[in-house]
Amino acid sequence: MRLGKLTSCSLVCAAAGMMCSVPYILRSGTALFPWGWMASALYLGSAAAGAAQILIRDRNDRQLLAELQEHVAALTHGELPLPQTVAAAARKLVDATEQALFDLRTRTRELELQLGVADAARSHAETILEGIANRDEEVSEMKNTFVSMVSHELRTPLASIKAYIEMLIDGEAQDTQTQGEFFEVIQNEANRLGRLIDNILNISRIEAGVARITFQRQCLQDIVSDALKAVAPQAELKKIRISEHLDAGDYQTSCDREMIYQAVLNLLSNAVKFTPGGGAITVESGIASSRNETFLRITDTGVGIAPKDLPFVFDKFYRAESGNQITLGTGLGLSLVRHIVQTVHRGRVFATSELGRGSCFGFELALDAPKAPKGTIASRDNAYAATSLQ
Amino acid sequence: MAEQKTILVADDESHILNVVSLKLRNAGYRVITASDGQEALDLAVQEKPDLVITDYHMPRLSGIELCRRLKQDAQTRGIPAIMLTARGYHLDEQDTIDSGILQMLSKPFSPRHLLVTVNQVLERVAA
Repeated sequence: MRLGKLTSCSLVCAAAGMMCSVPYILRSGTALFPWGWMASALYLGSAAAGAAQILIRDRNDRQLLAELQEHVAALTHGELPLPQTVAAAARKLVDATEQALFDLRTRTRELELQLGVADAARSHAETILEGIANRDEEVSEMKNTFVSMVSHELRTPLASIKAYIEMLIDGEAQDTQTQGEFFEVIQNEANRLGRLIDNILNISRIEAGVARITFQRQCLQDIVSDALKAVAPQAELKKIRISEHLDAGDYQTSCDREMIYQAVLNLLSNAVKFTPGGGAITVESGIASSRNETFLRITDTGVGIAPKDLPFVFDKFYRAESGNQITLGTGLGLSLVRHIVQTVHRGRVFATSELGRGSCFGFELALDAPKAPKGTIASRDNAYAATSLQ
Repeated sequence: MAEQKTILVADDESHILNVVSLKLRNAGYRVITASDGQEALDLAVQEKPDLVITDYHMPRLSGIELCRRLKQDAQTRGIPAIMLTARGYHLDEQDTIDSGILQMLSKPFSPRHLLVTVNQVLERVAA
């Protein structure tokens, strides 16, 4: 900003000088102007006008500029304005310049403040970026770990299958009973591999947000009944008694039937797996005490889970160090349950256990509004309307 | 006629125990089994097998610890060992000497390959 040659001080001096008809000194840094006041006024006028043009442009004070230009014009035409007029004009110019300077300083401070704020914002953004980069690394590492764990899990049943097939090929199963046993092992391991792959796919789809979900109003106890039928044969084989307490009430929850069925099945299968032969499993389903949720509770008389392991049971591939427990499951069953219940359905899973006595696993899902009476459109959006109609 | 050799197989996975036992029995060996390290140690002291095949990870006593204890006991010092391991586990020289493990086999292993290894180890020891 070329305020340059003029300072307000020198302008005041110039004005005073003109009033006193005393030669003045213009602080241009270059020369002294010992002329008469007329020439000085002329010079002053034009220089001031020039400065004023730059300064006052922003302030839009055309009036002032016009006045000054008038005086300058008069001077160039040889008209001698009264010293008072010129002095007055100069005073006005000084005021205008000072105001402009003041505004400029204020604006500079504001800009500096903004710069400070922007700087702080940049620094903050950098910190966030760093955090994201670190998290990216973490997630990347977790993914690698997950991938290597999954590979290991997939290889285990595969290894069994290969070993048994090799034995069959080499004729090591010398009687039909042994052969039959071998075939069964191969089939079971192949099924286990299939379930593992399904679980991995389901979990990955849910995590990636691309799972195909269809919400429909369901009765939880219908889904539980179906799952109970599916596990009945295994329970029968182990002579495990399953007692059902399914509330026959007419309550519904909006959920994806396939997914919830899978979740219920995983919980029931676990209960059957980890309950020793001759044990008992209790399955309860109904409305929670909160009246807002429907619940499923599965209690077994199995080996139980140690307190130190309990917080982690729903984690992927978490295996308790339970000594000579042969791993029967896929390691992902409970993780899938949690994903389905909490991530997809915004419900809640829970697990309690007493080592040596048994465990209780279950979940809660939000209830829909009471069923609409016949003739009303029963949809989620109209749930409110349905309630008010009753 | 050569005396029938006895092999002790220790592994907590029943599938592996079944496969290995059957393979070796069909090949003419007498096989005794254990599903944890302590059981294996007791059995080894009692029976003094000609060879021990053990898993690395086992409850109560790990495979490597089992082999070290066998090596420390005068009665079982000479028993060679083969270790089955799931991950790339490497024995350093001192461990090899301490434990007497002559061969490592990584899982998944082929039963055929195991039999070949067993035969080789027993021949080498007999020589």
